[in-house]
Amino acid sequence: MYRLISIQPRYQGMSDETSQREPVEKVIELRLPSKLGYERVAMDTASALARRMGFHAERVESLKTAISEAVTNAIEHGNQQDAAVKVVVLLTARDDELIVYVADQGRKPLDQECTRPTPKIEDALERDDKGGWGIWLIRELMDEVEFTTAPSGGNQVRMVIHLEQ
Amino acid sequence: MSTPIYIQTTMELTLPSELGYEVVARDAVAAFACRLCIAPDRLEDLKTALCEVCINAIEHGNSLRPGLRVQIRCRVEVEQLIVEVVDQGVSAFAPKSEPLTIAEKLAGLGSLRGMGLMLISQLCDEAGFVPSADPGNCFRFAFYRQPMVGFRH
Amino acid sequence: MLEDELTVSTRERDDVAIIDLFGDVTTFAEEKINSAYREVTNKGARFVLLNFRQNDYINSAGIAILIGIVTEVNRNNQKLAVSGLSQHFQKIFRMVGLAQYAEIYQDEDEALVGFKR
Repeated sequence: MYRLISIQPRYQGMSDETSQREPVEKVIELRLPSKLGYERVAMDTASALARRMGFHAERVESLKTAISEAVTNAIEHGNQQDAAVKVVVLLTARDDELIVYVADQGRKPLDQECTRPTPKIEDALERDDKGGWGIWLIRELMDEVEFTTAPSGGNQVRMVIHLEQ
Repeated sequence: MSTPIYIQTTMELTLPSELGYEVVARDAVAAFACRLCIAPDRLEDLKTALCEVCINAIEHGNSLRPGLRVQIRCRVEVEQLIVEVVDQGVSAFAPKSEPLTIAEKLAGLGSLRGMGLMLISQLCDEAGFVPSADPGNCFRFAFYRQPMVGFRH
Repeated sequence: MLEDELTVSTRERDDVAIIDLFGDVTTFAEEKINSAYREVTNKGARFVLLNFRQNDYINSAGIAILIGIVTEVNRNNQKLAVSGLSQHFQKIFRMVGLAQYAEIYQDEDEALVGFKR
């Protein structure tokens, strides 16, 4: 279970005793404007990190799409496109996996019931709203996905992609 | 206090102070900058400058000490993109004199490794160390935006 | 951040109406894509090809817009195909189910041959 007390990442070299038991992690922290289009920054940052870690091109593309959806949701729904607040993205590189954490202010809280959607194109063709694919795509493309709520009420999503050797 | 009419577009990024991570920062800043009406060749210059500034922060400002961080702050102003790169100031990096020219370096007057600052100052529209409230070196550089009819940010 | 990152243009080749979509296909693309589709349909297009560019970015909002186009294509008895997508987005189109309603071709030439079959 992911222990998220605050957004403070664990840095290599901290003299905390527990860091000797945990794997070495490199963390990139990004704070983006809540304006549509800025998800590209998260995508390109993650892409550069993932390539550096040795992920294959197709896995990098899957990661970019999943991050794009998560950050777009944070911008549009969680932060209601408020230019004054930021979307927080943490990218944690471990030896065998990349962990992506995206957090918003929870202005529109994500209903836990909506986090396991099963959209079907046949249904979409029949109704006016053709959307609702974002969260489904995140689950399809990433190896582990968890949606939670921060103590402050913000929406959080933690996604993991495993590095195949 | 009244609500500000105009909220500046800003982005912050922190990365491990380790050589190699500057390419991650480069791609992040390039993605941020690419829609700001900065000419494509200037965007390439921005990427190179950003890498050099980060390398300086990692190698000199943070003295290659593991476990430290480099912070990058980007700010969009009407006519320019401002980028500030902050290290944790293990060493004060601000050089005491102007960077040497290539001719001076080739004449053996200084280390060839110090080409970074010279390159940076040639690539950017504005560049230099600025005082910082936090401990550490703060290097600030700017790229001018092209005026475009109807552009909005 | 400029929102108009997508250029949409229409042309015709071998009785196929080609809609070139160069740039990001996101929520901002809706009006441009829909109006290009309406334009070719009003001219009587029976075959419609959405021609993408390899490196561009399509998100789920863009996919929703394309599903909307499929709805109209079905209603108007047209035939729809897509070309120029990267391998990754071909995969996404298949996952979402768009491949059932629009044949996926590697490029424009392959699509034009395919329409005739």
